[in-house]
Amino acid sequence: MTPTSKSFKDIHETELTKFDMRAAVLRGTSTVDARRKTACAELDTDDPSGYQAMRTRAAEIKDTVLADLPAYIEMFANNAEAAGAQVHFAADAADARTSILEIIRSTGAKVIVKSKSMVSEEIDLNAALELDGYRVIETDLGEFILQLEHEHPSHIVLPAVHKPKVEVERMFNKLYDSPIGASADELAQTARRVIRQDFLDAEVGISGGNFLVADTGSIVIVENEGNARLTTSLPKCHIAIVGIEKIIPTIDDLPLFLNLLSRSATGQRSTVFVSTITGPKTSDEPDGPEHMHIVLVDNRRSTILADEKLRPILRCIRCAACVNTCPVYQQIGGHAYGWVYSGPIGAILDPVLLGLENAYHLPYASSLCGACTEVCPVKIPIDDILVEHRKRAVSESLTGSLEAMAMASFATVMVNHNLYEAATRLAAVMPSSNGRTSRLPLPVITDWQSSRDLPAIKGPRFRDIWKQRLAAAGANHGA
Amino acid sequence: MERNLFLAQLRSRMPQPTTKPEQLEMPAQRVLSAERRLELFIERATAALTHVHVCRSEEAVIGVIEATIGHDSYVDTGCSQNAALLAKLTGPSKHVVSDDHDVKFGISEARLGVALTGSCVFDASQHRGGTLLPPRHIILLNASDIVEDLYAAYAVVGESLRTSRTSVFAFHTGPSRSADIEQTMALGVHGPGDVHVLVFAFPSGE
Repeated sequence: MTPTSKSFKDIHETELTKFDMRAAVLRGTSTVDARRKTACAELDTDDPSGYQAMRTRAAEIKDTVLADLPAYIEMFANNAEAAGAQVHFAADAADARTSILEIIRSTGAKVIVKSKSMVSEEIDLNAALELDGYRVIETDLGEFILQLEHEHPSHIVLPAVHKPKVEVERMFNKLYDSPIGASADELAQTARRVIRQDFLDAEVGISGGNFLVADTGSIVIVENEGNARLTTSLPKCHIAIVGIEKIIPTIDDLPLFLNLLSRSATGQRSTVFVSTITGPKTSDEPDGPEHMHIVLVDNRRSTILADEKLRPILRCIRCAACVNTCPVYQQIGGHAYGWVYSGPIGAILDPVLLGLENAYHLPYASSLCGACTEVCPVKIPIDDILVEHRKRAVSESLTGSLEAMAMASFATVMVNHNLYEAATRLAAVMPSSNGRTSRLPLPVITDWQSSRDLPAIKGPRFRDIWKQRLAAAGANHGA
Repeated sequence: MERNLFLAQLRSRMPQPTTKPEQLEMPAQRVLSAERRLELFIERATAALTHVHVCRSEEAVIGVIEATIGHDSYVDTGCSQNAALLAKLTGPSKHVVSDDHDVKFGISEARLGVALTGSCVFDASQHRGGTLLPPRHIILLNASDIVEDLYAAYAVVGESLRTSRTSVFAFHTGPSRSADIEQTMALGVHGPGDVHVLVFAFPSGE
């Protein structure tokens, strides 16, 4: 998809006028967030370590891998190849598309089924496949609905969270003669019937991957519908597209991450299906793909790796707990962010994957309340990274030279005693009306003022009161 | 991109010097009695919308299967340990494993059960399509194969993968579901929408 993150300011205002969408997003995210809280709290009794210690451990394991990522990638690739999979390496989106197209061309396939993969959105895979003449079917129910509407996911776990049910009813009525007023169950059954034949016809199945297990060469996929299991089981060829940051060291580490992912993402103890796939089918197994390809995608992840302040972003396991709890996402929905990853994780990831110059507005789409950091199962300091991106945006003058100038002036005043003294005297005589500070006709702070309403500053100043008290105390002491 | 070039590029971008966190100890494993594991499995599988039937005899197993399937059709996804038992079914009609749209049930043997998540684990000896395509799924599970938690289950998976390759280990926890339409739960979206686990808890010696 073509990123529109640069137009965030305009797009988010349009999104705010879509009241049905906002209601659906608020309902969906609040429901899942409440479930997450209950399920994660249960880990204090369900896991020998307890929830907080699990988060710490998960973060440490991810950091261990990141500190030695090339070696872990090599270990994973060697073990996956020993298991019969072919491993491909893609430096960027174009490289990944080329690799995947080459594999598919070699199969002679016409129909391709896909299960959910955010990396495939990131590299714009569907458009490339369709341009090459393939029929591509998104099989996750939410993604299927969006594909029919030529829309993109607005959430990394709940792709169609922005879509009111009535819109799905109308579309299924038009396309499949499903009745208006059909229940969610009936709509799901219609989708099952339509997609089932595609599963049986497809020669290639494309999936993502939630984890890459280095010591066994396995890819692990979690899901609830069974579409990923079918995608990775029925077609003769399975292609998994996975970001390089998804590696964990050993299969013994997997339970920790599965516990954190399922509970943080959907509030389940386990998702309905968890597949640990190690190579194509063996000769004595009854079914399964005969060929398995794993495409490991960098696509600027190494830029994050090289940057100490941003590196914790690569711990992310894409649970979207930060998205569901974010008061800004809950109001504007995911499409406002203008690209694949939205919410707090999008606001820290997109500026690197797209380039800060193309997404510098996103880190400002936060009240810095810290809720995202608090719920992150791998302890990514999201709010610190949001501030870091803002600093860089200002220092690179992306937000306009006026903001950089304003911030520099602010800093000068705050560290200079005499200037601060003068500024506070000036503030005490700021114009006000109805108990609120009047907006100043200064273009440099117009935007900043437009969404803030400050109480009128009331004199006398604290420092004057304090000085008077000290003087009075001194006089009393002297007496 | 060629593998060595990819890795070389990545190495050139690695932070210098790399600081490796300390090697971490695995958390202590819990140990639960067989009775407690079964109790927990029933509780957690039921919470995940699985119908759990604890069967104390072979007759009970056959009774539950006959009552659940009636005269509908089923596929055996590879129940090698229970072939003799399934041969005694008289009501249901057996189909060969295929992508037959009309088959209503799959009957599978689970390699493990997981108490804390209520999951059943299949290895690739079971026909994958047979565990997924029919709208209803009957799973045969020995009570003695129920382990405590995911740590214990993946210890078995890891050991198995280290000795011989199995292309897939699939953990199934309840019926296929989706909440993609306004967070309203719909069952049986792609996989089975109705799941029965028959736990064999035969008295020892039977």
